Amino acid sequence: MRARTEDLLKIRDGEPMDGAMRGRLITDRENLREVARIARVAEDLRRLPDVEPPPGVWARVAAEATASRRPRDGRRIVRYAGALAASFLAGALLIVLIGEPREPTGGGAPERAPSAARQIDYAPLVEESVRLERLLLQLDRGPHLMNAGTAGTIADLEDHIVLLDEQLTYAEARDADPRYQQALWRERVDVMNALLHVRYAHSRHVAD
Amino acid sequence: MQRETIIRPGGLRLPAVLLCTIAAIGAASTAAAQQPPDVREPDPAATESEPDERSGEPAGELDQARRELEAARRDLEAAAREVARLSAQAVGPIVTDLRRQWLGTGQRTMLGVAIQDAPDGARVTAVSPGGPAAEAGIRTGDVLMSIDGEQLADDGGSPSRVLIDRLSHIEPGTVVDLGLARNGAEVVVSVATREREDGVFVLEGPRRHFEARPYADFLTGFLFRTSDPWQSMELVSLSPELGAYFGTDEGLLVVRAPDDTTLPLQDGDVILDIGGREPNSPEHAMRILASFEPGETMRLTIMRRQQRETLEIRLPAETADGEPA
Repeated sequence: MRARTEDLLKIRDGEPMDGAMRGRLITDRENLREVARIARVAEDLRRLPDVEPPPGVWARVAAEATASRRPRDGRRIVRYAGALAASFLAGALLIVLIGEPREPTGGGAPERAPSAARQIDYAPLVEESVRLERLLLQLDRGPHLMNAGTAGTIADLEDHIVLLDEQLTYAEARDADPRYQQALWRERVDVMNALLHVRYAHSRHVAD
Repeated sequence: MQRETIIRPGGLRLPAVLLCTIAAIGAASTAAAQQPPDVREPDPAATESEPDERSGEPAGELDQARRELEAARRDLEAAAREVARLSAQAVGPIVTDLRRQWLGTGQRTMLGVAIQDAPDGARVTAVSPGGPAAEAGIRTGDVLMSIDGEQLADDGGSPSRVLIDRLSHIEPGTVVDLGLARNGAEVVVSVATREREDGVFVLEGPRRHFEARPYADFLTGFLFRTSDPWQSMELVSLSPELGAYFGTDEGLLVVRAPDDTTLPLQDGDVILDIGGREPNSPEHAMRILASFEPGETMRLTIMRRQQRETLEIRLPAETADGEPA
């Protein structure tokens, strides 16, 4: 039996729960396999050393971005996709290097934000989100040959955005602290950007 | 509690694998760019190959370029997934409480929009790409004024709350009529709602001590399908012209069947439905396929040589470590 969110939250928070249900959740083979897999991933990640960005990576990305020669088709596409992946991953660095605001509350309800928090302006993120949406709509979405892996990636990113939009709606309807909205809009912009890269690369592939 | 691997804001601490990937991709791309195609080391296969009729290039070289392109595509998509994961991970600690409350609402029916209150309704501030509202043609900037004829701003309260409340009483999959204002005109749009996908809620903990993980990890449950047996398949939606050849005017044409031989699709099959659901795009097909568990049996209705057939497919099971058996 796959665990439901509510049940897991209850277990985590030590809330009362039906004993039989609890037993099933923590002995279910599927859940145990998932736990084992995640534990291994976590352990592998822990073993990774913390490192600084390698010197020259930015210069390489910049050089690649400004490369102007147009070789023959196949190589051009490969270089394009490689450069896109490199610059895109470099962009991922920015995501994690930009300072994030602290969690707005000490764990209480997200509503009734202090007035100071109202000063937070996330309008630029909303504008960027609108811009990315517009760009995405400009890409040709007609029927094209698509690899299932690409289709799966696009579906996953789109599903991610659907969940974010539901949360944004919930936050707005609950008049939540603007810092929540700011964080959610930031995540939306990042994922939209990721989706745009994949869609754009696919459309270039089709066009070439 | 186990220590989590979190990207810490402001600190230059990143998983080494990410940096190595950046460096490797960047170096490979730079190296390729610095080496003109006409001075590369000759590829024995390429020199013996016949020129490709369309491009005039040796077939071996084209094959090599295709392989490299395929690898680059995988790199790019892995990077996109990584960006999404990192962003969710970075934002996760900030919005934990909000997400818990949202998950706790049990809201199952989605439109695929972000909205905020406006004087006469709920203004659409974002439309989820590929979501129900996007497919119905709703755009950012539209103002939702009614749902199934019920006004959202009638009682002076929050139109967004009224809409959420209405949706909470509607079964996922129900088609709703949304009245909206766009550029001064009022139109009604029918939207087929969709069920919220919680995906896999990831568990962690030593010695059977289970713990709900932050949302970022929750997302990774369905953001990584690297062991997906369908990955190598290639699909295209049928156009009427193509459909005439295959005896159907709808469905997805399998241009390349999956490499996994346990999946009995063939090149030229047209997928009409998967478990009773009709896929309208390759992305939609992947959503449906992903909803089946490893080891589960699914039914596919296909057209093969213009004959309708039903395939019963048992998906590959996973081993204990989550990889395909």
